[in-house]
Amino acid sequence: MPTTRIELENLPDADVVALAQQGREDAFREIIRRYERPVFSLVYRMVRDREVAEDLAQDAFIRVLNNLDKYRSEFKLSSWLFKIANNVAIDHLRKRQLDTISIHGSPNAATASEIEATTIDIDSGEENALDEMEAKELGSAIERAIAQLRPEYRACIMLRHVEGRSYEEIATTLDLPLGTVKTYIHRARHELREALEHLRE
Amino acid sequence: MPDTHLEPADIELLIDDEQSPGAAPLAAHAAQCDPCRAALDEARFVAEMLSTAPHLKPTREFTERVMGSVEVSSPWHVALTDSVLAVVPERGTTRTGMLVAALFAGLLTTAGVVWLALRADQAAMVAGMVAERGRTVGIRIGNDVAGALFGPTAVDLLREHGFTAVALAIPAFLLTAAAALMGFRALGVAARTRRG
Repeated sequence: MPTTRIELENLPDADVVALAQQGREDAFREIIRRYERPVFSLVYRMVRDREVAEDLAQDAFIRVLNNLDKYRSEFKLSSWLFKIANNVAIDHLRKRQLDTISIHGSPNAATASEIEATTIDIDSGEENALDEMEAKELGSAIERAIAQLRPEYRACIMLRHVEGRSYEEIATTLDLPLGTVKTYIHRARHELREALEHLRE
Repeated sequence: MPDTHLEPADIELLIDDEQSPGAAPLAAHAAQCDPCRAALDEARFVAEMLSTAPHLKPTREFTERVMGSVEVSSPWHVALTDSVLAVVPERGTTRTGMLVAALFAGLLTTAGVVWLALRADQAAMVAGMVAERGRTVGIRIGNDVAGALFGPTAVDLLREHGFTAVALAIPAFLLTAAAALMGFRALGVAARTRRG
């Protein structure tokens, strides 16, 4: 049985989860160590507020870690974490209406026109100004461009390019049809291309 | 190689998986077609920019805050194993030395227990003598203390009525002491009020 942190670090997720299910506190900590940055990054880029992002990421971890006994090994731990993190972030945005949120009415919408037809937009009515701290951390052009995307586009594009997930994994993680994921990523790339066009000149 | 310009979906395919079987003719077209190459370069630029977006770090307290709300319950055998492993040194020589010392201590303790078990009657007799001696000393000290505090009457009372007297005397003493304390306090307050 592994006892040191170095041994735990070398174990695959499934084994670390198995140790956590036995009540090993160091295994819980290892799960947090592995995914605190990816999960926090995803949530931060969704809500663009450090304090809120930290609370939401914390909430996502607590939900997952307190339900590890329900974990199914055929599902990636990281996908489960991202799924919960995305859900808590979207819930937060819906509650606060801080941003332009598209609520896709039909989960079966697979084409662009279907998505358009089943999408409800809620405008916050205020500019998405980044505060000083955010501007420091999200200061680069790409971060500002990501911040302009719709939250659901952001989640898809971050999972695709920052986390390197396949379209199928993103669809499973975010509970979206594969066609919707492709459309979101396509649109996100298009918007990012426009936003970053000036940098290529 | 397709004669027509690349569609957005073709560019997506080249961005996502340039090694896929369908990508080769598309890439060949882009290599020869300026507008398609420009569109592909633009898409690649965005993808590269995205891949440079770093993982952001939460505050240092993040882990502890999460752990503070997570229910970690170890089965007894895991907790026991962890407790034992926590005191076992990681270095080989130290671990061996500790093992030898533990074996020696275990051997001595076992020998002592076996010796005592074989001489249980003697041990019981010694224990009885020690207990009797302790009781006698205890009573003498109790008498001395009661005599010093409450006088010979209290000692006689204690001798005559034993534990019943003690059970009555202790609460009576505490109540009297508390009443006296409150009385003195009331007198003090009254005196301060008069002076004021």
